[in-house]
Amino acid sequence: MKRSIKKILSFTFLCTFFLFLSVLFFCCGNKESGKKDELKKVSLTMWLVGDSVPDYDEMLAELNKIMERDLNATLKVNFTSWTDWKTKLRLVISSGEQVDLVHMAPWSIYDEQAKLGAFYALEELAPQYAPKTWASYSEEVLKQAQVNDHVYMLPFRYTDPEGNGFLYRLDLAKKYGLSKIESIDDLEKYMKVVKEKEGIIPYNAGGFDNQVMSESFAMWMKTWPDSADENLVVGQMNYIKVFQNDPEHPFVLYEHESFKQALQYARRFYTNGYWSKNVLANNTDSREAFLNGTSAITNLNPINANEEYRRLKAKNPDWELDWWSPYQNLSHPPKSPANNNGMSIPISSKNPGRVLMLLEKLHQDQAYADLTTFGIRGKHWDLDGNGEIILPEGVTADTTGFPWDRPCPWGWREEKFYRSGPTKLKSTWPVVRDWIQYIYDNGADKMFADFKFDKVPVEAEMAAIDSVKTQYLDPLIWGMVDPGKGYQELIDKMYQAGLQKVKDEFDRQWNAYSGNR
Amino acid sequence: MKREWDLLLFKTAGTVFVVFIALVCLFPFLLILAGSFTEESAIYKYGYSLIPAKFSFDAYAIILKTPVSIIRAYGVTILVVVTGTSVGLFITAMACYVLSQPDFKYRKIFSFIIYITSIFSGGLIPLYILMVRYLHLKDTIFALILPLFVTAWNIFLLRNFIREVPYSIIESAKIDGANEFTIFMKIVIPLSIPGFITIGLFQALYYWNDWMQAMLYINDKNLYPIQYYLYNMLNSFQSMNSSFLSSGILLPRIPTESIKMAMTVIATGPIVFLFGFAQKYFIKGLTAGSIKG
Amino acid sequence: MTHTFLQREKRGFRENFIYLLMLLPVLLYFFIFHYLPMTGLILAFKKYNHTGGIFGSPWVGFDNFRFLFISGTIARVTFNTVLYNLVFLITCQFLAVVIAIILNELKSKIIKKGVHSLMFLPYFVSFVVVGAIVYNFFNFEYGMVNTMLRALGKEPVNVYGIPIAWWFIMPFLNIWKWAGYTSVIYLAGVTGIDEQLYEAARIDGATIWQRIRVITIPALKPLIITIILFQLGSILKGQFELFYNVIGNNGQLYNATDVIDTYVFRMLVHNFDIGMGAAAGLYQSLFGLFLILTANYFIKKYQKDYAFF
Repeated sequence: MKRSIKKILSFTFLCTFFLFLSVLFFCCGNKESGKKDELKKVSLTMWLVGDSVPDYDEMLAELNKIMERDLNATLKVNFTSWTDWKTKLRLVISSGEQVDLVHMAPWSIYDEQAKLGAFYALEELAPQYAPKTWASYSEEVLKQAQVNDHVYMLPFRYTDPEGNGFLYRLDLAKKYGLSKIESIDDLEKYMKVVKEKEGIIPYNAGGFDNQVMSESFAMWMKTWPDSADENLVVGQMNYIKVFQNDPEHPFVLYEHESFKQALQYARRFYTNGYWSKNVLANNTDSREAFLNGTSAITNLNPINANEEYRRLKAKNPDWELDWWSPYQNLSHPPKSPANNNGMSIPISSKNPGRVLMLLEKLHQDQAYADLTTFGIRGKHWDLDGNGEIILPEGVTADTTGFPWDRPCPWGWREEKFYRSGPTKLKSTWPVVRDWIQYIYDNGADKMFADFKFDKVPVEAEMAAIDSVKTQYLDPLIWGMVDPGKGYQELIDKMYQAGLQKVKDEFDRQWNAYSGNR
Repeated sequence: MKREWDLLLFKTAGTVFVVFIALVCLFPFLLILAGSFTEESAIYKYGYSLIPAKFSFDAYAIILKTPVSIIRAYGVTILVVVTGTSVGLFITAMACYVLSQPDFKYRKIFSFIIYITSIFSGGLIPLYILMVRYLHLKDTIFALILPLFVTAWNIFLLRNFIREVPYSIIESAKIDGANEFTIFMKIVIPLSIPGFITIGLFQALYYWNDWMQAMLYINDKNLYPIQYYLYNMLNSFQSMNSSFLSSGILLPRIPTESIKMAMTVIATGPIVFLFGFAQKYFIKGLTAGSIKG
Repeated sequence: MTHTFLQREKRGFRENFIYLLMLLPVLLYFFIFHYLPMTGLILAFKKYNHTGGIFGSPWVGFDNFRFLFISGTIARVTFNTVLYNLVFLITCQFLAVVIAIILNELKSKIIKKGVHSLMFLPYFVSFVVVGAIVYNFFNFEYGMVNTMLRALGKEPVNVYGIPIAWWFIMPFLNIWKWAGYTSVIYLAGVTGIDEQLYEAARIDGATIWQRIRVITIPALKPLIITIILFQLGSILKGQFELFYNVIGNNGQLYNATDVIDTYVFRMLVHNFDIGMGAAAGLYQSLFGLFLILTANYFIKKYQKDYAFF
């Protein structure tokens, strides 16, 4: 007895000692302050998402030359690479290591980190250090970038073309007496002939396709209202939505009539073998399959459709391609958020003023924009007689060391400097160009983007609901389960995980928000 | 007579059994090897097969377009494996020896303290903060070595082998006036060679196969170990999620199947080859070091 | 009382001085790289924010644990995890011992070396690649299994639609990956056995089975117990890569294959929260700690020498 007491005592002692040491260790870290900027020479660190390009360092050396002249500062750039990019961003921001500038977006981790207090609020700093850029934002744009009543990012000034659609082979359709696809029923006919006559899986989906289906399938239905929809709760599943023409009635996507209808189509497609029986286990995107002739459809947004068009035309010049998006059925398709890309300044930065001066340059000085977006003139890009951007002599899209717009310059993109914009290039696929132009002309701006749902009160429920997605929603949306039975199961599981509580909390916040408008 | 039969039966059945297992282990590797020499479109059409449907060197040509970075990555990996294994193993062994001696008073409590680290961990972020902000190890070779330096698993395994050293030998050495460290160097190490070789091998493989530390702490491309290149190629599809839908950016293009396979071959082929070569010494070491009476 | 206690400790300390010195590097290492970051465990009871950091963020009690238990799925997932890991542990150790014994008895150097090298191959193959190969085997339309079945005039099988099948496929993959690696430990153990013991047995006319039962297995027992005990502690963890890459998003199989790591991953991948992640980790760790302490208690009672601590 005595022995064991002694043992416990000594163990507790050791543990306490270790813990005490640890606390000491962490508490000793000193907090530096001093935001005074007198244009002393500083070195700034920027984190961008995605992968770098081969000639990035060469460009950076050029950039640093003009930065030193203009701002007495130098820049170091780190890339997350696409693998584990969110994990890396979180680590870098949470750890408090010095980061002066980081790419942020609603599709990245902007809302999450801004709520945790990761960035400088910019309402006071920006007018002082980046006055021109700050003044260029409309009230509406700044509202969209707000989290907890503060603006934590300097958004780009551009509208991203949003919305997926289907790239398919019009030549195949024509071969079997079909015309352009303009509805889900046309699509079904196309898939039927491909399956029967060509002997390949019509939509050989996998990987990325699995991720997009649950988002967009309901939208293909004819019962989907002719109105831009907005996601009010952003997460793994954007399941609470509202139509702009009916702001009084936000709804849960999976309880919408169109969703139920989509499940019937899905079941039919699955049974008829229009996609693989093991679509959820397949990790190969339909994009790769399409390129290699083992799928007759692939699901892409306009930008990627254009890229793929270029690639396919080189590989199979005799293919006639077309792209159809369910958004084309809407008279006012939704535009992407005005803060779809932007730059934030983490609180670990010691020079927020200088960083903003750099951002001012990136937004306002064409030399800065050109360098970071297109690389070095004469080596990576040039202008033709009409002032349109072209690749220099002897450089091709495959051999260039600086593919335009690739190494994440999106956070400071300005429409006016964006030489390679799809509406500006002659080489853009007309189908895509026309569609993007249509969005610019007729698209609906976000009306409720400044509504930021506070997840904290229902965090546990939202996590639990997310665990339902892969287990019950995905098999249903791919028709592997009979909707007669599976649909009710999905709904039951979601309520079991706390959907009612999320809805109640949402209603409370939405009513408060609508009351304030 | 019965004995002979028994032995014969055991040996025949045993040989068949282990050879079968070896073939099961070999099979996927052959698929990978064949896949790396197959033309991309053939993989999409026919899947993997042991004989390439359409022979092609393209995958290797693409990867080896910049051989310098691959060679450099190999250099980093070898440096990490060699230093990490040798120093780590020595420290581990000292601890194992101490923890296995009955005359060491605190062995149970320290064993417990060490074991706890294999169950509890504080998570990524605290460790990251420690490594980066306090130890300043970001973008250094030490960030690749230190986090895997000593593991509780290796300590417990090696302790078992060291325990097999008869205590009578150690005791008589003590009576002769040798101190603990001398006993460790002169008696314990030579008598537990099989254990050392085994644990050393594990430690080396652990380092060889690690990509996690590089993912966390290395931004400098010159310090990427070879496995991190492989990891990036194999896992890039996981980064594709629905958030890309609304990002309005070009989707990152994932490496094709044959490139993934070729990279696997490049990243593991040499060590597998080396391992086969080192077998002779490995088995010799195992038998030579065992305690014969 | 305290006086004598301290005195005794002081003497013990002096007597074991060189031992402690030799242990010091490892202790220092574990302190810095494991115990210091362990302070992060308190985040399981906090709502983390950047202004407060690890120590300044507000306490929230057990709030972070709520998401684990809310839908009632955790019981099934915990059960799955424990069962899978037990099956993994037992099958893998058993096979590894068998392989080590057989290899030890075989005299042919070529087979010994060849088999030994080949069994290590799976250790180098990433689970991502394993997942791709498995898909290539079982894929309904083009998979090797179904191509063969069709050639034989049989109905194709949709393996990805049969959850029960994965009760066998997963342990098989686990064995494939780890059995060779584990058998190396036992091989080292077997070669350490005194050759004279075998010689004596042979003279006594023992059959090979008797030799194995009476000499080899008892000699390996401490090793087997150490390994099993060690792995009990992390029974709710591990093998995330196996499940994530082979099962992936295949929701139809989850009733049979969902383990805690994949379950928590799914919930937090878009609802990232440091506190909730720490809470899930703590749940796994405490479960493991409870299990290992219980196991250690019983072993201490019946086989004192093999106890862990």
